[in-house]
Parts: sequence; structure tokens; C-alpha cells
Amino acid sequence: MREPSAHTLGPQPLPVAAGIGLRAQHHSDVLERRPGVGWVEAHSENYFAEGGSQPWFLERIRALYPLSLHGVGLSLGSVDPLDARHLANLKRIVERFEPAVVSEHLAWGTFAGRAFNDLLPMPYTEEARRHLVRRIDQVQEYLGRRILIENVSSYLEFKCSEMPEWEFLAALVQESGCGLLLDVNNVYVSACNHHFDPHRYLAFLPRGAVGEIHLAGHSRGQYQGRDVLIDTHGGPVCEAVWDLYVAALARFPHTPTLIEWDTDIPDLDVLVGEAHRADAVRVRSHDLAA
Amino acid sequence: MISLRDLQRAFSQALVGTGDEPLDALIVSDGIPAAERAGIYRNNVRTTFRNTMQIGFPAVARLVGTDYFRQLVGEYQDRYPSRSGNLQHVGADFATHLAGRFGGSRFEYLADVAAIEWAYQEIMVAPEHPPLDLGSLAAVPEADYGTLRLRLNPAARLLASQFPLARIWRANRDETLDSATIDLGAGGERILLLRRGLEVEIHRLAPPDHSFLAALARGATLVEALEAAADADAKAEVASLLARYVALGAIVGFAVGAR
Repeated sequence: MREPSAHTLGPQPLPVAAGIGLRAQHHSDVLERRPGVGWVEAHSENYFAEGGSQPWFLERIRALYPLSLHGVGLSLGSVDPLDARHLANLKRIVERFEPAVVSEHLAWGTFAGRAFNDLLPMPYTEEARRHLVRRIDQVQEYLGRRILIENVSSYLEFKCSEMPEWEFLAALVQESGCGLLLDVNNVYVSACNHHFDPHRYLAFLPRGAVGEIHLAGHSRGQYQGRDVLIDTHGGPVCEAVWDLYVAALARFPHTPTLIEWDTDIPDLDVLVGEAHRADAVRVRSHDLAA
Repeated sequence: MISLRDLQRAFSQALVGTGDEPLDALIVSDGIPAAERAGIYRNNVRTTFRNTMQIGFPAVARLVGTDYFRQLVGEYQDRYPSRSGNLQHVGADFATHLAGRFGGSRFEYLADVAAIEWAYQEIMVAPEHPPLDLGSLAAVPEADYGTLRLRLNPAARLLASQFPLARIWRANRDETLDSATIDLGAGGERILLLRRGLEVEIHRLAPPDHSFLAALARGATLVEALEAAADADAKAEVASLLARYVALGAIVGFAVGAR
């Protein structure tokens, strides 16, 4: 039997049928069972290796599914210079695996060379906006393609912020030409934590800018007797987030949607079931709109 | 207005617990003190690092137990924080840290276990390399032998321990295995860890074999490496070493001339 090559499919846009986040635990299952999902998304850094099983599996899975490469470690918002080695690795895997979409987060994660390996929240200031536009330009220039920027969940707000997150994101789109990866769960989590109306958030984002949607589960913590929602990606999508997804589809119809699940990772079937639910919600909401 | 740099500096210091600047000036409290909000992130930073270490060093974790591993990893993170957005690099200094922490004590072997677990992580992501064709080596003119250097497989690592390292590692890396009683004084081991395809092989090496490969890894010439092997055991049959380790796939390339 001929080995599939990464080029079997060639570069192509993500289909609207929902995708799933690809995790090493599911590599063999995905290859053997070829679940009926539209596409897969891989965390870029997990496939930086030049050899071994991670790229071996991704090459074969990529031959079967369109791919999105989703970065978590570039630290776009940091004042530290961009890590040249990280960027070079990213470019190498973008060339090798020909993803339909490349994305990163609206966050920072390093200071003075120390890496926190977390998605830390930005202050929404004019200075931060200019900084991020420069950094996104730099990455887009280096990769020779547009990237999508994802909104993150946050557990605090900085006093110095001069605009809400949605205005900040819309400004980035306008000034850098980047697209948005709209994480509906993160909008919901931050809306609950900071008491804003998530519909207002969605309504402000420019139509046409959203190239991908994320759905995931979160958990609830208690601090000083108050609930704080924490973005754990460790469970099913909650009903309130499904409702907000319907609202997101009304504004950004036919957007490729991904189910993310990163901790307490369940059987592949559970993930595929969530993706099929997203498909059903999408079909129903578009039927209603028609 | 605080600059982006000053904000990131202050928040970073809060994350590592060295900040003396009150966070209340920076962060909206909204019913939860600023320090506690920053604490959510501090906890995330600790948890991500610890989970990465737990996945990378299952044998050390099993040997010392969950609670103590947590403490060791916390100390390690303070001393050797992550320097990369790629978590792959996080365990690089763990063996060094444990050697400093336990050198001379009865837990001295833990550093060697960390070293073999790091070697394993490294070779699992190393590039593939095609085997060396012995014929191409035979074509090297005899006059060039003095400057002939051999290259080890990027997915090969050499380890030497005064403890029965491979046995300790194998008995502890898989939680489903019953822990065996291993006599730490059972004698040292020299090991070649080699990935072929997606499988990792453990080869126990005789002293001359280890000296030979270790010399090559340091960049010695073939002649120097064979001398090192003979030094390790004057009675050793060193003439076959080259062919043996080429055939095994541990030696994958060569170069002739000054370094």
C-alpha cells in the first residue's frame, strides 16, 4: 500500500463541517478510524519536532483532512522581541503541512526571556494596539500569509485599558489585515467574569473577519465567594455557550468551527460527537435564517 | 499611564512571587483582590510546567512520589524557568538540578534517571537520518584516515551511570508495571539509547564500546576513538567496533579533514 503523503489533499480552505482539536492520544485512532469530521487543528508547537512520532502522524493525518495550525507559544503581545527560532520552526511546519489556517492568540507569555507558557491578558491601550499591529505585521510578513488572532479567556482586567476587548480586536483587524479566530467559549467566560454583554461583543466584530470559531468547555472556581469561570478545555461545551454559538453563526454564518478539548481528554468518539452537535446547530441555525 | 513594558514587568514579578509593587494599582479588583486574580495565573503557570514535567519524567515522579515530585519541580522551575514558548525544552536542566540537589546523598541516582528520561525526550523528537553506506566509507583513501571523523545518529544518546540505570528506568517509567526491588549497588551501566523508526532501543555497552562512541560524540577522529576503546580495555577487539555501530545505525555519517 502506498503511504499517504502530506500533498494528497493540497492546500485548500477549511470546510464548514466542524473539526476537532488533534491530540497525540488520538493520533492512531484518527488514522485508523478516519472519523467523519471536516478538518483537524493541531497546536503548532507540538509538531515543531524534526522527527519522531508527532510529525509522522501529522503527515499522515494531513493527507486525510484539511488542517489548521494553532499556535500557543509565540507570545505576540510581549514586549520581548519575537523568538526567531520559534518563528523559523513555525514557518518550517507551515511549509511542510500546508495548513488552511494559521492562528495565534491575543496574549503575551514571556518577559525578559522568561516564558510563562500561559496566555496572559493584554491591557487594551493605544500603545498595546500599536505594538500588536506591528507584531502581527511582522509575523504575516515572515510567513507570507494572513494569520487569525484568537480572543482569550481572562480572569482580570487592567485598570489602564482604554477600550473594550472587542474594539481592540476590531482595530487589529482593520490595521493589520489579520483575521479573527472567535472563541465563543472565551467570549462567554470573559463576559461572565467581567460582566459585559457577549452579544455586544459579537456585534462589534467586523463581518468577514472571522475565519474560524472555537468551542470548548470551561470550569467554575470560587474566589472570595465569587464565581470565576476558568478556561480549562476539560469538558463538554455548556448550554449557554451553544446558545452564544447560535448568535455567532447569525453574524458570521458558515464559519468553520472547532471543538477543543485539552485536559482530561476523552475518547475520540466524545469529541466527534461534539463536532456533530456543532454541525447540527449550524445547519438548524442556517435553515432558520433562510 | 503605565507603559506596556512596565505592566508586563510588574505582572511577571507577581507571577514568580518576587513583586513588591502592589497589584491594586494595575488590576481591577471587582470583589476579588488583585493579588488573588494574579494568583489564578500563577497557578496556571505552575500547573502547566508541572504537568509537562510529569509527562516528561514519569520515572523520577514515580520514584519520589507525587507530592515530593511537585516540590522538586517547583524548586526546579524557580531555578531554571522555561525560556521558550515551546514546552518541549522545559526539562533540559532537570538532571543538572537534581545532581546539585542530591549529589553525594543516597538519592544521587535520581539525576541519572532524569538524564535518561531527558535523553529519551530528545531522541523522540530528533530528525530521522538514513543509515551510512559502509561502501562510501571504504572509499576514503588511507591517507585521510588520520582526519576521519564519524557522526552519530541525531536520535542516539550515550549515558553512563554508577547505578543500574536502564533497569531502574524500565521498572519505573510505566505505572502499570509492579515496582521491582533493584539493588542500587548492583553495578553501573553504560547505555546507548537509539531510536530507529518510532521505536527506542536500549543497548547496554561494554566499556570499550562506550569509550569509542563517547569519543566520536566529542568529535574525536576514528583513530583517537579506537585508541580510547583500547584504553578502556587493552584486550578488547576494537577492529570490529566501527562496522558494528554502523550496522546498528548509531553511526550515520562521516567527514574527512580538519574540524
